[in-house]
Amino acid sequence: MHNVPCRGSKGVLVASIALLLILPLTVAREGRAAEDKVMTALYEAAKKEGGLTIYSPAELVLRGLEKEFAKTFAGIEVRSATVEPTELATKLITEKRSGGVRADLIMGSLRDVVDVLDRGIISAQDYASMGIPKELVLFDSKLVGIWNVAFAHAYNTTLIKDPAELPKTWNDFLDPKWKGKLVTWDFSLAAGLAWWGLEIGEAAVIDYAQKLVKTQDVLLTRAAADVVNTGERAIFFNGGLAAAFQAQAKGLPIDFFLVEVQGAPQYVACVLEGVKHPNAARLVIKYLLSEPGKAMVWEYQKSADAHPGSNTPYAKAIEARGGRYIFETQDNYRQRAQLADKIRKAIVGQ
Amino acid sequence: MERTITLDRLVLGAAVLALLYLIGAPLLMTVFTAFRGPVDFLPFEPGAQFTLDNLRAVYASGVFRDTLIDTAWFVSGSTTLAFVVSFILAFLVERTTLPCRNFIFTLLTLPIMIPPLITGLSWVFLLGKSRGLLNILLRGLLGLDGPGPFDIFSWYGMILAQGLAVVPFMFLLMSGAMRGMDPALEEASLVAGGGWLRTLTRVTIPVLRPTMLSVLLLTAIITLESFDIPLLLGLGAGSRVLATSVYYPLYPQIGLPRYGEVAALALSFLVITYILVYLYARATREQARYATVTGKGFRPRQIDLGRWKYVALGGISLYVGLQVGLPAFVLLWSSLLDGYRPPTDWALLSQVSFKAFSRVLDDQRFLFALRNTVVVAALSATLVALLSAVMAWMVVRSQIKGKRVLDLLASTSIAIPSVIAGVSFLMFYLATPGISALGLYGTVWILVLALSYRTTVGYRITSAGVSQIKRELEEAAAVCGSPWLTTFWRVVLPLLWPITLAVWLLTFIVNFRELTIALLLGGVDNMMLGPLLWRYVSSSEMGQASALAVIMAVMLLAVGGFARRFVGTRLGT
Repeated sequence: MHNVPCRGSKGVLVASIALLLILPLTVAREGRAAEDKVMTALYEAAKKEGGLTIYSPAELVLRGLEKEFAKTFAGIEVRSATVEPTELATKLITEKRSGGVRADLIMGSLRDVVDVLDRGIISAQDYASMGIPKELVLFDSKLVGIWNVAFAHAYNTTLIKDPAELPKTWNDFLDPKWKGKLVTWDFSLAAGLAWWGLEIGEAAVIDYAQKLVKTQDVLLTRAAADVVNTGERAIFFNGGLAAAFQAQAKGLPIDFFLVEVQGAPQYVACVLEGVKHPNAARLVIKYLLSEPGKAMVWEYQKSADAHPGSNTPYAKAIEARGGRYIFETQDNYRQRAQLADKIRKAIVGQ
Repeated sequence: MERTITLDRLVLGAAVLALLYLIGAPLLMTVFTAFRGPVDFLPFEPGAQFTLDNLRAVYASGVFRDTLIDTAWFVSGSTTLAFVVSFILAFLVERTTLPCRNFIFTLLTLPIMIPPLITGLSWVFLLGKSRGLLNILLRGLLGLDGPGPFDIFSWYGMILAQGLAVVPFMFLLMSGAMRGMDPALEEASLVAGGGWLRTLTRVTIPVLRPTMLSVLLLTAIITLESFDIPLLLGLGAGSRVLATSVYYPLYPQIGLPRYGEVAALALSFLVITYILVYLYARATREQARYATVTGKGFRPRQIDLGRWKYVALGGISLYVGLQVGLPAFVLLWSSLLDGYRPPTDWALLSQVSFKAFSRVLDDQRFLFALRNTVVVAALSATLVALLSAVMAWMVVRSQIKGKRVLDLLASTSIAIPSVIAGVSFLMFYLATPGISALGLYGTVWILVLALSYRTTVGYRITSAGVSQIKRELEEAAAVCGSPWLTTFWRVVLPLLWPITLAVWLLTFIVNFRELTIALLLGGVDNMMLGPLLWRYVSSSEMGQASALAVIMAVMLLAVGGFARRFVGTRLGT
């Protein structure tokens, strides 16, 4: 009696191990097959449409799509227009009023896109049937998360040679040794601090922002990245991971560091309502979330998903530096944006 | 006879209608937008209503008063600096025996070819407190320690950068007026023993008063509207000028851009502009006194500088080095290094290459954008130059009713910030029933029409030019039975030709490097070079941005050189 179960246990064990080894491979193969099937079906449908038009502020990704997408999906021409982030909604609403939006697909941050959600411009799609994970699908199946815009503080490594000297907390920036060393611009300063504000509260974060600007001679300019790249100032306060990685790729002496908590706004893509090339638009979204698509986004713009475990360059870099991020969702978006607005008004008096 | 009168009226009527169309649309849209809200809706959307909220938001707080004070300092400082420098330069180039004047003329107009955004960035690279090239040089020369001695992110830095940025523009206009001036009065003064200095202060400057006031007025308004330099340098200087006040509602942290507040702010631009135009009109009421272009042929007399030419050349070299040489070097260096790095290490020379230029030339959008840009800039410049000539002649010479309204309307465009004009055109061409059906949106034609709204500069300069032409010529033509249109075409226009060509050239240059309106109205099929440059800048590709700016500057330089040669030939100078 004793041996039978024992023999049975062994058999079960061996079978379980075999299953554990084979199942993921099988699932992965089946997953890939399913992915390929979806992609092929979309491609076939998109080919009949011949091409599509994209509006977005993400110039580098647009350039990547124009060049790389056509290599994989011959016969589908990507045409694009770079639009200023704050003007994206204006353009779409006005075009819609004149009889129809000219673009098939838009990409932008949640901030750029949210205002057109209730205006019948963005169409809801069955993204589940396209194999897109549900955690990436936002606002009633209208938007799909494609990458994060992760805040980080960039610094010039010729001016700060020892990373141990860098601030480790937000309050460390108030140390007199950083006076005259920080540069940013008002939009970025407020937007980045608002994430921390979600944890410490509105009054505390506004007080901090005012103190920082008042005591640390923070330089505010639209050319903040160039100012740090050339060594005019040491730290780009609330810069971005993408800009830091781009500077490194160009051989500039730039690195980044994180403090106790940072924010990661969500970049999204969506198919517009009543467009002529819906399948091509869906195919682009599917491509952006595929491994070749992610590789293209990284190659051209140095943007990626920053979520822990996503196995992207962002996630790995953040993990290596022990950073913690608050991710933008449809639940915290408005609260964070309103707080950023208040911080900015407190700084610039507008 | 009957047919000729009809044709005259037809031309005048068409010019008035064109002006109303080009300027009236954005003007009405601006006023309309200022009174529309709430902020969650665009002004023409069904949810929008008439409201005073925008005016309250802008004017009810104490912020606006501080903004006005800061703006007054900024505008007066920059305009004064620009005026003094450009008057001296124009006088030296046009009225003296300074050597290499054609070459110097070309050098002095060079910065006008470079987009303001790039010029602003080059000032950061030159006068940044720590790593600015000029500061590094000065520290080395003077043996100074620490950062400085100059800091571009300061009040004086912003005034210096803005003032010098408008010098080429002022120089171009002043040199045109000085070149076209009849020397008879100056000669009379010299014969009477007035001496050069007294002749300059008692004759030359008073005779040029309408043009100088006109140029001062335009420079003040352009500075008032200037967006790029205050945004790059002004936020750091803690300044709050009107242009930066426009920026905050345009780039909100949440929601749509607050166009209503921007338009409400634009109303104050309009009021200030009208006050300046009124003051100008008062100051130049008796325009006949300033008429110096007569039926007689002349050749402007040139002052022999003697040994002073070396002092003049030294001064000009210093200016050219600071305003032209160093920024041009920074631009070229940045394009050759594929991004700017201070030239403090010889090892950097090994990294010099033409990679950035090749990438721009390989960019499939480049040739397409270049073609669109040339078409849009040339057509809009032609439209503006012709309209300016007709309008100026009508307002200065004719007795038609309502000419003051035309004067104000033609002077209005400069008071409408580009961004408001852009949004107004977007709404006008897309949301106005009947107009949207024309299908202009997305084509180069919408850009030609939109960029032709910039009539103020051309109109004011041409207007000053018309006031310098003696009536005797037109009267002689009229006595000979020449109808208005023939007189205008065969007498007035040839005399105005240098000014009209200068207006064309200026408008061409401004529209060639256009960014704001081209971005708003631009799409896939009508991309211009300005937005392409912006694409490079916004994606931190300074190497490519600099390379494209160099290419654009070289092209504009060629056009400018050709125009200069053509004007010179026509004038026999």
